[in-house]
Amino acid sequence: MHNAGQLLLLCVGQALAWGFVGLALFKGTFRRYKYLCIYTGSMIACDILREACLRAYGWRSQEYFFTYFGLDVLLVVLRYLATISIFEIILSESPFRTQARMAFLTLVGLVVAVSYWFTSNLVISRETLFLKRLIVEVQQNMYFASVVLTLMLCVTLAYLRVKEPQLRALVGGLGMSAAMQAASWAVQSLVPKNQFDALWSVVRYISPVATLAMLAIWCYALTMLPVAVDETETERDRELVLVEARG
Amino acid sequence: MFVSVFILLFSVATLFYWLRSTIQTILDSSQATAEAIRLAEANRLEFPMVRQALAAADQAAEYGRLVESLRHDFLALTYLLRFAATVNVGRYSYEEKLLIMDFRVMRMVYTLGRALSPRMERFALLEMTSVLEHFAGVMSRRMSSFALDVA
Repeated sequence: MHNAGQLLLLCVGQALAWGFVGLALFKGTFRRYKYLCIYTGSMIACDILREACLRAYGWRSQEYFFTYFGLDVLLVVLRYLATISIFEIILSESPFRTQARMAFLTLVGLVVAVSYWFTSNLVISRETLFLKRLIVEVQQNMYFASVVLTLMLCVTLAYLRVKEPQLRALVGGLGMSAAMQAASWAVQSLVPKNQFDALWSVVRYISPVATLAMLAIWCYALTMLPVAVDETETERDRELVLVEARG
Repeated sequence: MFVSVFILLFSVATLFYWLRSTIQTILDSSQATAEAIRLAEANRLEFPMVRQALAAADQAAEYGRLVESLRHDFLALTYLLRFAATVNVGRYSYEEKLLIMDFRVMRMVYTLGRALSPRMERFALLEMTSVLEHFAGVMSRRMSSFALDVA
């Protein structure tokens, strides 16, 4: 069962996820950020499924274990799709769209292949041949792949000089949460088994906090940030007012 | 083992990068430059002049005076943010807390820059000015809507 802290994080997370989908519908950006909304909706559905499984089978059951991590893999795959969809938005008006898409997909394949290679090496080495360790490694590598993909997205934004604060904040939220989660799984992978329990009381909160931070940034982006900024106009405004002030 | 150490270090580094990127996005999206300068004029704040001074000349000797002006403006604006035309008296929003943290970090960068490089000093001063410009824009909008509500 959940303690008060976990329950609070779960409730706030659900509220923010519903909030993001609602805001996207209300602000008319649902179609533009369709895959982000699907990803957020899936987070809500996965939380409900996990909760149902926890109540039906209990905390230490195999069923809950496989449901929890199985759904986590699904969420990471949806996160990859959301990242690719943002890439499509950025390149929608670029003449190099096809070439850039090919390059991006090749890099996605490369990152996933390297991640798989790390994991398969782990299975081959006999010392670490048990399921929990394997899952920690798989999760760590999958989230790391997500960190690299988001960085690639950021490089594309900078290279194409995209001036869309809303999009940049959405990418920032995605990157921040992926970095926190990858770091948390790496810490779990590094800590020896006898010290793990003491650390677990802190580490178990990192993943939900990362998701909350991401959803909070996304809601903030849809509510407060403009889709585009006209830089020349801002600069002209500044000069006019300064002249006025001096006069 | 080495893969995990690498992933941990890389992820922590990117986390800081994303935090900076988020702050930069907030500052870049601030569209209230005109309102901010008007508020600065009305309250005798000096950050628009600091920006001009930074754009006009590259005299590192002047930076000490500029940073003092920015510090005074920061105190005045944060006081206004907490107590003027607000329902949440004495409190900052999350966005404001993040930018206040950025301002303080930039003060440290400025101090480091004094020992290391004038370019670093200038960068820190420009970012501190942008934070104050953003706060002035927020205050200006808040005061306009407050005046409308009262009317």
